[in-house]
Amino acid sequence: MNVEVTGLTRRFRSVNALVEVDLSLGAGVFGLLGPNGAGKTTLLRTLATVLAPSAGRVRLLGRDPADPVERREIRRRLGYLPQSLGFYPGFTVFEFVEYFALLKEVPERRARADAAGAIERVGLAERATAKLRTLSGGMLRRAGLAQAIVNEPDLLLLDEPTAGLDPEQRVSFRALLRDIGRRATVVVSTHLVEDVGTACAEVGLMRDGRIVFRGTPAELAVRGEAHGVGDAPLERGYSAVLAEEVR
Amino acid sequence: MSAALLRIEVRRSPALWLLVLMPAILALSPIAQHLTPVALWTDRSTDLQSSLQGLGPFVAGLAAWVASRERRRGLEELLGTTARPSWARKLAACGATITWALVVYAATAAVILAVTALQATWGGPVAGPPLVGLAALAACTAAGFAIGDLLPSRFTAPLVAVAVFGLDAAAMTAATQRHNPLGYLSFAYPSIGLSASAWYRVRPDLGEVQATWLFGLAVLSVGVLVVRASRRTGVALAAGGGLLAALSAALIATSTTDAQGVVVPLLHNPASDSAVPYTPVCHQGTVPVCVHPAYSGELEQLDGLVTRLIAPVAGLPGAPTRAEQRPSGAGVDDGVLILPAETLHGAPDPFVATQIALGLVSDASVSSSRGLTPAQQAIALYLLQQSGEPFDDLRLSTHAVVNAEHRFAALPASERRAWLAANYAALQRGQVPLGQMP
Repeated sequence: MNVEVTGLTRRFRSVNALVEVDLSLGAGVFGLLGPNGAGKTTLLRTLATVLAPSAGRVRLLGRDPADPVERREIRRRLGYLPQSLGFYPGFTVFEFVEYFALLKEVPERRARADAAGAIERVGLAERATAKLRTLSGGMLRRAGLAQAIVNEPDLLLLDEPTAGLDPEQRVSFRALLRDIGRRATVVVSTHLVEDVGTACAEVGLMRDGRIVFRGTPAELAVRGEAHGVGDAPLERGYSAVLAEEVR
Repeated sequence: MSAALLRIEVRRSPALWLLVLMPAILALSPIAQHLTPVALWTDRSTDLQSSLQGLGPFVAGLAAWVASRERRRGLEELLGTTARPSWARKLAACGATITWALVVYAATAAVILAVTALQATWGGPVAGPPLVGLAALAACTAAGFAIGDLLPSRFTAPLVAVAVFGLDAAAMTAATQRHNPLGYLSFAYPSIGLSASAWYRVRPDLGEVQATWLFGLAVLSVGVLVVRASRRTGVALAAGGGLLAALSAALIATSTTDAQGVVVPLLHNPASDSAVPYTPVCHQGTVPVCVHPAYSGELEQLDGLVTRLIAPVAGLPGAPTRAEQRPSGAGVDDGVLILPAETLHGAPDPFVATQIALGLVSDASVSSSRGLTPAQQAIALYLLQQSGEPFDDLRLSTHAVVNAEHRFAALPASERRAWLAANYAALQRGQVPLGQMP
């Protein structure tokens, strides 16, 4: 398992952002759904080694992120795209991706080729020499994705990756996720249920810091057949599960 | 630190703008005012060090700006998930800033030294002051970066620049006005003595202490930068840097000064005090006027000045038969008028004219131990007035002196000459009271 989380709790002062979350994930694309404040981003940040757990056990890629040496090894094999992507506006797309390749300790002799490959995969090759300040929001998101995959990560964590992408870009993005998910663990936090339906083999639904549903997108859709609210089967499943939890 | 990281940082560093700003920095620095026809290598080399007064705070602020960019650009979290230790990427960014600062400094040095090579008539470049300047650049950059990293706000950069400027100005004030030896650690304080620099070897004492101090500060700053990522290394670096800085402060506290600059007893090599042999360059005017070859560019102007000032006393008993530039002393010494080791900057210089006039009315052995009498001052004032040279009137402005000069100047030329013939030698020894003047 690339992700093994047991009893994970994360508190911010008196607020419990995550409450005894158990999760184990192998290769494949795992979608995280849930309303605002459900704990999706906190879970991703914990898996990205940004936050340390308040309680519980986390093992990533077979290693303990609390140990500095093992954490460094995890980070070499980790890709992360945060919800809000910062960037240096004076860097070109290529420099930005190469910069992250080097920071992820991709060997220097390979860093340039790997950066070019990642940029190609996200469809930004034609803008590789453009300064980041000149890119549209969607292009910036793709540049962010390129830096996340430049080290061929075994664990890829994406927080709202499709925000700002146009429909055509979303389609190619989902194809990319499926491709990466064949050998790596991909965790995608999103509000867009269609992303989950088409790209994810498995989905988790979070509410109030807990995972209240875990199954395939088809299983989630089934949950909404009786009394869900929404235009699509997954939306009805989503609303039905949340409604059950409230009751 | 990765070379490829440094390459990216160098290419995208905002410090690149220093190259664009360099002409303005040069124009505003003391260097621009000192590019006069008479060039002394020691002066010009020190000008490079002095340029740090402007460049140092600017580079420190720039480094603080670069250091705070992760926070300003919202990249802290993403960068925090990368494998390479944070100190490596920070040192790369700091290294890029230092690289461009050094390029700008080297370009400035190349311009100044090339101009000086075309103008100077004696000696060669002096390495000490520019090297202290290099150390100062590294220290300013590292300190600015460390502070910017600790306090990553957009206000940090201007505050750092102002603080560095203020601290250095305070140190300069302490050195020049209060003669506090710790003030010599200012990165802009000349690391070599300038007043007699053409006559003696360069004394490296102060430069060595300044460079050690600045190197210590740079290492201390790198330690502060590294300590969060690697506590043991950071603490070791900070302690080592602090130790070097403290050692420098202790050394400079024991220093003394003389005409050749600062002496640090533990570092001092007496060989550095020895005179450099030279052959004077002379011009035959009313009396032969000789200068050090470093000043040969102003010989003609100096000769004209001496000729105009000496005219009323030329040929009288006690009058000099030769004028010679020396590193120290004033007055007439065994028939030789001692000329000050000052640069005229290609224009009439009130200070130099006044020095020569005061020298003409004083005996070198007497004037060195006592101040000039009012009668000596009055005749010196007369020599200046009749020559038409601008002079430093603050030194000759008492009411009694001015009145005596007016009375003397109002005499017929033959009476003035006769009085001087009778009294000039005694006047030089300070034996003529003001009341004895006509």
